[in-house]
Amino acid sequence: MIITIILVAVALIAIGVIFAAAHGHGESVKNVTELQGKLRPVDVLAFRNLVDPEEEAYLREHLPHSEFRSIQRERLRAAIDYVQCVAGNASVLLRLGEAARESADPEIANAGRELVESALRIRISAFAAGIRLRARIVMPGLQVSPSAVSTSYENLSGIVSRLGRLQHRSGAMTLVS
Amino acid sequence: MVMVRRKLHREFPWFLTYTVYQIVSNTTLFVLNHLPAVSGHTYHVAINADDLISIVLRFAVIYEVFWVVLRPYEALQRIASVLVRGALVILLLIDVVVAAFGPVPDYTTNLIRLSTSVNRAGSIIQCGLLLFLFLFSSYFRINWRSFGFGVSFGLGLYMAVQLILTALSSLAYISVSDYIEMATYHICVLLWLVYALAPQQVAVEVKSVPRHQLESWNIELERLLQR
Repeated sequence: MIITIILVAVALIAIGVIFAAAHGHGESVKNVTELQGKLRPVDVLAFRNLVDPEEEAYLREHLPHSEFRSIQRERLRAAIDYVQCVAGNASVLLRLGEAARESADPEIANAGRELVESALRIRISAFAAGIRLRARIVMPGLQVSPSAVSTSYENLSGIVSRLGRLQHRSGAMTLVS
Repeated sequence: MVMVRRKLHREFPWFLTYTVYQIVSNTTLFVLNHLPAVSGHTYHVAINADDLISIVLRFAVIYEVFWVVLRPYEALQRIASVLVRGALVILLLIDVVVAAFGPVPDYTTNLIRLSTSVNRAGSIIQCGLLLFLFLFSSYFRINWRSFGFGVSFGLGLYMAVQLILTALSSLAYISVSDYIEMATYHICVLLWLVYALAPQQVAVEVKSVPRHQLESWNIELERLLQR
């Protein structure tokens, strides 16, 4: 009986997810301006500071244990917010890259492909970093390296700059609606 | 016909095979059901064989959708491959647990019991794989091609309803089970038809990207990165 209930519940959840995906699938981006408005500012240095082991060691050394635990949890929650923000920006840039790679100009198309790859790598890193940061809230002893996310994000910024320069030169691009 | 006319069969040959097979098999089963010379036992053997072939074809369709969806994203192919294998192992384990400890319909013959169990096992794995595909593509904001999405949408819906029906049929006889399954399948066919007829994503040309637009993105990103 329990197994049947679980299976029915999972199937109903699956139907919900499918309909939610269908609803999201209907949303299309018509132009670059729409994408631009969806970007959220991200301070990578602040993020690095939040997950810096030396900073953590300093706080651990100079604060009472209970206060340190509380502050560290807040720092990790803030770091998770940053990671989510970076992941959100990566998905916006992914759409831009997808639009750019349809361009007739081979250089723009190539930069678009690079942008798509980098944005996806950031989504992967952000997913892993999010899990690790959450795990650290539960198990404070774990170590987290911010380099995976922040370095990828810096690389992505470089590609966006290159794409921007190329499009600036070209003056036109194609966008998948 | 719509698929061939819109050249979708080139990208989804297994889906075309599956839909053609469904037409042929359902017609054959209908004829067998109404032929006086065909015994009940033979008819149920045919149903079980059809279930197995349908399950195999649906696996091929799901693989095809994965391939079509992930083909433009090289960075995702490796992680998707690893995660799909992991999901498959978990789903197989769930199947084993359900087969070992789940309810078995005791109101009917062995052949129908087998059919219900096989369909339940197939539904668990296929529904799970499609759920994984939807969650995975949703997280990575993958841009689906319209028809690929339609195939997954319809198949996912059908598998979820089949999972509910087979799970409940294991407990008790549901007289309207076949009707619900048939109605769901027909809704899915309509969905596939709508997505097949819907215009594919068209490259829309933005005639002039404002010169300052992307530069301001870069300035904003670099400024943020240098804070």
